[in-house]
Amino acid sequence: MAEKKLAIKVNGLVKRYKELLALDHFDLEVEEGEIFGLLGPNGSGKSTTMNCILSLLSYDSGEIEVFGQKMNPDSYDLKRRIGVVMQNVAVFNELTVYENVDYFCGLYVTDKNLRKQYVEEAIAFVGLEDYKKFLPKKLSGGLLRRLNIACGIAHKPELIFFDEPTVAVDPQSRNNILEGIQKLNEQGATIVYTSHYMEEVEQLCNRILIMDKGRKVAQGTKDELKQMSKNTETIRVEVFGITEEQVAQFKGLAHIYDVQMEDGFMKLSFDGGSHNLIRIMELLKNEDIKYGRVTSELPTLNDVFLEITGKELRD
Amino acid sequence: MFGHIFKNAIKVAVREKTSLFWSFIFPIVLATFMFIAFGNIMEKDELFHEIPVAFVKEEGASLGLSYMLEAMGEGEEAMLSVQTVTAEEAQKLLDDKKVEGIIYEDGCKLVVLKESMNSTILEEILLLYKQNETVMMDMLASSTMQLAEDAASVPGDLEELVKGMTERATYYKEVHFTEGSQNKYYNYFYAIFAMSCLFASFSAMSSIGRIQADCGALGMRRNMVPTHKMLTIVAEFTALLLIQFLAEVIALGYMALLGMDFGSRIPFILLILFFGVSIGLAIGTIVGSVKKIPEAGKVGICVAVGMVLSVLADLCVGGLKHQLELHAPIINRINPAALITDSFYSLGVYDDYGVLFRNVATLGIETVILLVIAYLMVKKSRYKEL
Amino acid sequence: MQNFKLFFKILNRYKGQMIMFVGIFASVIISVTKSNSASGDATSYMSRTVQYALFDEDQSVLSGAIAAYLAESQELVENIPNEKRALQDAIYNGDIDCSLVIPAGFGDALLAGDGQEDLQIVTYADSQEAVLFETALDNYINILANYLQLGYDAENAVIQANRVMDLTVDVTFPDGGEVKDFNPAHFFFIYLAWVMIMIIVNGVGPVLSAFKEKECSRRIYCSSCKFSSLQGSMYAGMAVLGTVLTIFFAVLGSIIVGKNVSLNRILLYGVNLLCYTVVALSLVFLFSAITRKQAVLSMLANVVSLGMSFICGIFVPMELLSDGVEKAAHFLPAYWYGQAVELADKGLMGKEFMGCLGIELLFAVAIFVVAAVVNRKNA
Repeated sequence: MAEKKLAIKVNGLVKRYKELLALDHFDLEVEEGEIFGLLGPNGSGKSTTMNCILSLLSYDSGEIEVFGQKMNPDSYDLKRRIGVVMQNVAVFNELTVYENVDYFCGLYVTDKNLRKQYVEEAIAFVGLEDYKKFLPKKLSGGLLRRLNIACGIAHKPELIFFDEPTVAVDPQSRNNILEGIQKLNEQGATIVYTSHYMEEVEQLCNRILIMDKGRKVAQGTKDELKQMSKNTETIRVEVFGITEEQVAQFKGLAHIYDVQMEDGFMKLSFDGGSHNLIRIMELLKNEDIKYGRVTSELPTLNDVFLEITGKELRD
Repeated sequence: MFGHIFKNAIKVAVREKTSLFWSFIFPIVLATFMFIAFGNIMEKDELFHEIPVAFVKEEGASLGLSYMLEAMGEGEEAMLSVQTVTAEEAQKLLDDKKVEGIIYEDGCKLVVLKESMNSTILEEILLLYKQNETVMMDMLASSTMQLAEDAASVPGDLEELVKGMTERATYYKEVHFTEGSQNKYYNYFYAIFAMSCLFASFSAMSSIGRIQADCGALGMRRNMVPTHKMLTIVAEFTALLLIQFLAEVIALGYMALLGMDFGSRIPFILLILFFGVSIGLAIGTIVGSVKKIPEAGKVGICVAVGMVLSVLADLCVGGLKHQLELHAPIINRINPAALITDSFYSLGVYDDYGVLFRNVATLGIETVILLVIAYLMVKKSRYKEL
Repeated sequence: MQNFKLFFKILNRYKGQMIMFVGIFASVIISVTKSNSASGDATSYMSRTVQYALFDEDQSVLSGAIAAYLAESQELVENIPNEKRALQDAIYNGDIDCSLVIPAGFGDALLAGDGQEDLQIVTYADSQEAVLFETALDNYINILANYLQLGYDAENAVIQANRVMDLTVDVTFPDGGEVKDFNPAHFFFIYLAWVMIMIIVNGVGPVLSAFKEKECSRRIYCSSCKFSSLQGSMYAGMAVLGTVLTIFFAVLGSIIVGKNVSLNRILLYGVNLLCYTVVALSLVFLFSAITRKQAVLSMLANVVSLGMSFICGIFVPMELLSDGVEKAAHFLPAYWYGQAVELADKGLMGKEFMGCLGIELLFAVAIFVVAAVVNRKNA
């Protein structure tokens, strides 16, 4: 099997903010062509990692390579291949949508005609054709984020960093953004996507690294990660007038490892087996327990995180 | 790439309407105030209004002082407006501030309410009178003695003498270095230029802030572009230089409209303004490059630096510059505000431009040094914190 | 109380800037006061002592007398060569205002009744200092010439002329007090009209701007805190700060000039300063209602403080300004501050002094009202 080329390689990265250890011997490998997710709660070190890779932040020790070369502040050739979509909107308030995209694209692409084409494509890509002459202050939060993206990708970079691009964004814009990222990847860009929203990461990313307190907690595809969790299924049943003895009976079901009562719902956690729901329904019928709503959930990354760290992803 | 960044910087600067407005309006408003304050003085050297004074006569006194005061109160260019009144009336006029002072014929005394330019002028007038009176008395005494010796020749001699005394001769001739006028009050207008050049620092300070990653997301993005920082700094600096220089040129035009005569010196004035704006922008660039100070603090530093340099160059109040010249002249040689105003001053003192060029060259060198230092400060592109 | 405390918490974050401004302007005002004290002339906007170089090529009794007279009344600067470049440099550097050349034979010419326009005064065109010098010079020589015409010989003419030049005029105040040549306290306190606005707008501006930061101000206005309560807290905070600054400068003033000035006058200056500080606070309140940008606040401070200082008799004595300007100045608070300073110079705390203070406070109230309306509109 051909060895996959690495877009980013990080080895033993250590970064301290005075006494706070933000990154603790952190390793990372991103393959070319993939969408790589960096997932973790607030303060886990996602943005710090990204800024170190981009040579914006100094670090105490470790090695960072981008496209096989050491990344420095004056690695202009590398910078030409990189695009960044910052967490905060990074545009000129005094320039219109078109002018902002044109300016930033122009810092990478010197050919005027080519630049014009790229700018038009970028604006169309994020769906801001009707807003070309608008100033940023006239745009809603979602549209502003789209502008932020357009400025970061207009020059068609090979490697794009997205740092929590959907924060404070309306659902429609969020979907647009996620779809757009997938399209960019299909066009050949390697994407590094940082977020604390597991749903987005699950939806988008080929491989995911979960981090906490500057350390890697787990890494793999979403399926690989989910397999790290004991839980294979969680079934919730709304029950009425159930007794403790009856609850105890459910604990005897096959593959069940936990039964909890939560706000009128009985939560049953399974670590294997199939057709668990049928067995539950049979027991409910046999015990003549009245029930209402029933839901079944597959494990989430939050479950993985909770199991490994003992806390929720969204704290 | 230079053109692309330059064009963008012009757009951004022009659209920052509030800052732009004040950059252009600041020297114009100050010039207007100055013109209101000094306009009359510049047009004519004489007093433009008569000094109201009360005169209390003394019985039996000689008429010399009366005649003199009367003469000074007549005609189109009268210096005084004299009211001859009693002592009580005079005191009331003074208390009601209807006169600047009371002249008492008895003893040729002057009473005023406060020290002022007018009280000084009244004092000078009376002093002149006393001096002339003394000379006249000596003259009469001498002619009385002559009369005893030679009765025939005295009247002619006396008339000759009085005529000689009243017709004052001028014993000097002024020699100027240059042909142009260097009205002292013009210095205050040049001071406005110096101050507004230094205030150009604000725009440069904002501009460099947008290049630094630790000053916001825009700075972070601009640190990721494949463009040398020095190129960005120079391109933005050039754009701001153009705009701020234009503001100074407009101010110059406005002052010309107000009636100031710059004569044939305009090209040199433009040269001074160009370098003056450069140093102002360079100061702003370096202040903006200092890390870990919030924007408000940087503005404060720009203001403080501008004010200190201005005050050391006698721009607001006089006296300090001369003291520095005596005890620490090197400060005047490098203080940008002093260099700017001295450059204007040199146009009236020297008939060649060596000193002018030396001053603007110093400003140019200082600009380059500051820009290089600023670049070295922002060049270090990795930050400890963002 | 929350907002009052917040005012000082934010001020504390900007204390470095405030201290810097106070330090700089205090140094400026001390230097200027001492510098004017060195020249020794408080009354004259134009310096009455001219610095000059003298080249006596005549070396006669009469030229010696002229030299002696000038040396006594003006300031002779020696060691400047009589060369064009050296003179230009000396004038440019401010070492001298002009130079005088007494050519050989001038004494004889004067004795013969001639000598007109023989002396050379080298200066730059329209020099005000040169005008003063020339007036004094011509006056003396004319008197000298008068005595020569009367038949006196050179030595005796000089004696007589000097006798005449020794004459003085008795100038007093109505109460008989002597018109003093110099009052350093006047300089110190009058320039505070400019300094106070600069310090307060540049120092307090950022604090008020913080209150007006878009999201924070919206959060405050959404709270149960009444608008009047918020404004009141800010007024109270500014009142405390203003009082501290006033006391600081009054104490500084009494240290710098206190030897020459009675405590009573210092108190008058201080009370006047307090009223003007209220005006300055009202101005920063108004400016920060108009803009949050620090650079614009600073420019506003400069324009207003310098503008008022020039046309209200702070930098330039009112006598030099036209009647129209003086009338217009009545509508500016700095004018009344300056008038009160002049009354305080004489230690007069009568109706007039109180009237000036009252007008200053009225200005402050009016400006506060306007600022409050603008703030409310923008809230």
